[in-house]
Amino acid sequence: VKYVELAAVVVVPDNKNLAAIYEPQPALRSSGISRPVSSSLPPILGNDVLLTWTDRVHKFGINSLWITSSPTEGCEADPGLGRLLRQGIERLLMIKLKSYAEMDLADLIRFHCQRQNSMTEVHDSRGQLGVSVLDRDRVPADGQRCESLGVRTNFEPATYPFQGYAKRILSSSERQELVGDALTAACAMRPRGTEIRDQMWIGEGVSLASSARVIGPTYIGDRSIVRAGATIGPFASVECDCVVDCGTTLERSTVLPCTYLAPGLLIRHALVDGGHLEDLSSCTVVDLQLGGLATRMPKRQASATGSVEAATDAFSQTPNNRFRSVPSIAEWHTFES
Amino acid sequence: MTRDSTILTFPRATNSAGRRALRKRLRNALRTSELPIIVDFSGSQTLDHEDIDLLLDCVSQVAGRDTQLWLSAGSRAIEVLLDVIRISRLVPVFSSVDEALGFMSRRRTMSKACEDGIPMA
Repeated sequence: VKYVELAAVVVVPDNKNLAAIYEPQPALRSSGISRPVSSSLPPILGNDVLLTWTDRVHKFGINSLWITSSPTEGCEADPGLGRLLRQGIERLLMIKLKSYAEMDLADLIRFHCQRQNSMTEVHDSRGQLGVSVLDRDRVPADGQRCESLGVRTNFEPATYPFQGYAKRILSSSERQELVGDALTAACAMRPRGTEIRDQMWIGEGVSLASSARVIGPTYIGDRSIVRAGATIGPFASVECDCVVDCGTTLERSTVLPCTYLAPGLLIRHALVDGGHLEDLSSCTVVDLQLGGLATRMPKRQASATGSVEAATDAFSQTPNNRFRSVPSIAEWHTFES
Repeated sequence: MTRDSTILTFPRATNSAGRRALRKRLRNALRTSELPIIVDFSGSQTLDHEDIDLLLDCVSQVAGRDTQLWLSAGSRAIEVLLDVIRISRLVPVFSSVDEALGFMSRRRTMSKACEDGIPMA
């Protein structure tokens, strides 16, 4: 049995019951975390939150990192956790992937050791952040009930009061706040792309019509297309492989990957994911697909010109062919970062 | 219909024949009504593309005429949809029929006060 003082487990929320712990890959053990898996969570300004955590864990010097998924809260203990402990791990840093937090892991571990408590949970002013440190004796044995791959305890865990930057990414409104903060450099996260102007970020292979308006702070992700007369921003994020059709306005909103938005819409303070829109002020979810206003498109891999063609195909595949025709390719300008 | 306005329930048709019949009834009412018209969406949970077409039809029916058209969303979801398709930029949208009627009543009081030369607060 190899003795490991400290290991980390990242628990990714997932609808699929993947309840299996992935063995650490060689890349994680030794030279670094080379983007092992991507989380099922949508990216934030092109960033995968799973990778921000795994990078943080790696920089802290933890080479034993496991990634698992948890479909629901309060599931049965994953047998993998017990297996993990039998491999000789003394202490476990457990990160449930529900928040983005700029956390000093060294300080957390120091706090945990000083308190001499078997378990420490990280809280900010709004409650748990989903990060905890637990000693070997507190990890459940196989088959015991646990809470989201955590531990059901009959004692009070120590609370680590976190006062740094944190946002709960499973909340659409906090996610939008994180987008705004990242665009204005109010937190450490940076959009993945090129800053073509102040607070205006563009990914690779983006197509912008000459008459489209981009108002910073704004992010347009890889291979996305913004058509004639559309207005993006301020505080808008169009993730990768999206199409914003002619004349549509997007303000203080996020469009998740592979979303098509029909012409002439006004999207304000909302999160659009495929054919659904969530109004962030009232948390109301509405179906845009029924009205032919938005839909999910297949992910595109091609170059910018290919993207336009792929998008054209996507429109012709949309239900009832409700979307209008596509402008000619000559209208487009391509930004390659 | 109230004394001062016509309230039309937005058709909630289940098939295209029913939808066509309701559309005709709605268009006729829009064409002939002398009173302000409130279209009530409280029976609708969402709007599909035919509903949006019908709504645009309603707006075009009253455009250029002296008829006032107001919309009563009935739910936050419909309110959001009306905002997304920018109808709320063309036609006043209220949360409920009561709110629309209340607004109408206040406006009438104000215009009467103006006619009578009473200063309003």
